[in-house]
Amino acid sequence: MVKSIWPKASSKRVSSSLQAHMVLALAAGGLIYILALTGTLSVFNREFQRWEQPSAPEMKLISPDAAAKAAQTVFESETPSTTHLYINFPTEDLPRTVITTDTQAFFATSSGEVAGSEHFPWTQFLLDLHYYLHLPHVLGLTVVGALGAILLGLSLSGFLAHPRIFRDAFTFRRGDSRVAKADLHNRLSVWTAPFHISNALTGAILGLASILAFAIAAAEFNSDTTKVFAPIFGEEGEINETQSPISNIAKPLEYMQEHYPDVLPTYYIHHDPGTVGQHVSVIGWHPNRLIFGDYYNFNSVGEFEGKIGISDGTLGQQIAGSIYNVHFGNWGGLSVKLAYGLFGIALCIIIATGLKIYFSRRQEQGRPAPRLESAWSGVIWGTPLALFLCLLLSLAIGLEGGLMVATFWLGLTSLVLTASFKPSKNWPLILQVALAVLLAFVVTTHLVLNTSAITGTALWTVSSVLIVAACLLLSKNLKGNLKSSRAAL
Amino acid sequence: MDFASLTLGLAIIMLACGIYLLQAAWQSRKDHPLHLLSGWAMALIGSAIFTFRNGPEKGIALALVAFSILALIFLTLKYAQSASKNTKLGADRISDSIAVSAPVLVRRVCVFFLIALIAGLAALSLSTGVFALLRSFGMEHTINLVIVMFLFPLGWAGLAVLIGADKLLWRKSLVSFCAGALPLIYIVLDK
Repeated sequence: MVKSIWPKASSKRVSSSLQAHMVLALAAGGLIYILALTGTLSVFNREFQRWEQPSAPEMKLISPDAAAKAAQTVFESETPSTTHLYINFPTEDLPRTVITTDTQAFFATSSGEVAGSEHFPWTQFLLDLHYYLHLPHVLGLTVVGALGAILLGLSLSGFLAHPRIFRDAFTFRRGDSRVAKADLHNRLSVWTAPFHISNALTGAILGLASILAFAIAAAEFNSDTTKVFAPIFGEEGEINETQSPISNIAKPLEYMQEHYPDVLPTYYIHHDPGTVGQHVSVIGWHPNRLIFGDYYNFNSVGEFEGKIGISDGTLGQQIAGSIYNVHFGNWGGLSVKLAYGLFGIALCIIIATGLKIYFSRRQEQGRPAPRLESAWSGVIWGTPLALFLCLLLSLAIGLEGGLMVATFWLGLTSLVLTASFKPSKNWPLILQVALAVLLAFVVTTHLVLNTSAITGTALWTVSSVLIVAACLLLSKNLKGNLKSSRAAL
Repeated sequence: MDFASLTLGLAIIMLACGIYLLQAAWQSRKDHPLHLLSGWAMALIGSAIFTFRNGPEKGIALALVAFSILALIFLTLKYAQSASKNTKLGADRISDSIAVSAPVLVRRVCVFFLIALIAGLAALSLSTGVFALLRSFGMEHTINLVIVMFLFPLGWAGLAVLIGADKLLWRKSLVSFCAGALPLIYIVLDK
């Protein structure tokens, strides 16, 4: 027999790494799965925003004058005045102009008219679930960051527990045996590692940044947290609330067009508009970079003062400016978003199969845990079911805000508890068929409510994906049922 | 065909050939240094073409995305070719067969507490301590901050793995405590 070229791994290291892998998965698997699923859907949050309001005015570009006209109209309609006035410029994936104040958001037409308010309750609910798990913001961010750190720990222990990582890199057996589940889990883990490690790390960095800033500020800057991040992202200017006419909104935008034609303005921020202390920042997107953009700053009369330096400043600024985009996958257009979607689904499968392997092993060892296993199926299929139930109720009866949050968590908890009390039922089948039917209802309801936008791409992109998902779920289960009926005969 | 599409096609072909050679080398029981070397070389050339097309940061990121997707396509083909292997049905599922005793439950709660809270506090203390130390050496602020922004979750993850791997509760508690306490002592003494 030919001697293997692969070094033998220490069995002690493998077994203790497997032990760590199992402990971390049992400690946080459910919440990490919810974050992975909502994160995958959040990659397409702009497509969902368009889909929730398919009739909103769309454009590829808006002129500085038109954007300024709409922003001025919204600003003048506010009493009391807003402390910040924002313009979201149209992008490839969200070709809409939105004027936002502290309390409201309106669409603008390409000619600068204000055209109805922006409202996407389900997408906002989805993003809040992924960012904060619906907890108060700093606490929520920290919990989500902690789960990111544990996901990193799972990746680390998984690699340490895998003694033949290269040799097995292309071994992939089919079926529902534990070996086949382990193959699926390990192969997806290894080949999507650049994605899930970078995503866990960037997610944890984003989530834990607040408490890190508090700790560093307490230790080094007399608890002044602004001193921690100001050298990277800049800081707000001095506030002078004395009334003054709002400065020319179009002027900074025209300056950008003239002096930085290769930089695409994505966001306009007017700080303290209508006061002596007003000043403007324009976030400009740089093609072929991972950074979210750079801040181009203008003074109270709209004169250019310089940029912060995220695009060409210190290495620290450039790395920090790339973290958000690397996490959310919005750095390379639709193809990269689709790849992130695919890797996100792979991460959900990795998490789901991880605990399935644990339950299979327990069963083989003669200590099955049917209630826990059934509850896990409740988490896996109950989470998308509860998410899309909220979407259906949002469309059908206008459910939003706290009621939507309560519906999701109560719905998911009830499903998980019911599944754990009735382990004899085939919960994956029941929940998958229910999800397919629910998706069909969601698409039908949305279509009925938005007949005026029936020809628009904003409506059909998401609806088509939901229909395909419903068909795949139904066909998978029908096939499975047919096979088992034949086997029974 | 324009130049951009041509380079994209070339980069993808290079990566695909690289993956093919690597899988051939890894699946063989014999040593195939030539396959291995040329596989990695082709993957590197593919990445270099992406870097040439899209700049260093976006190019490398795109190369990684393309590499992963091509590997998943290879795996899907392998999966489609392999024979199905189903598990034998075990005993009927009725209820959890082994009840968890109180000491085991207490131990599990302690481990959860160590991973979810103590390891996090220790990593926070460690990151803050490193920031203070590097600052005292005159490290530039933004680089220093980025280092500890990465260190905090990595430290937490590393401690969580140590806690999960170690069988002795007292030892993992001690490691977590020391990882947090030592930087804290430094921060206090440094003030």
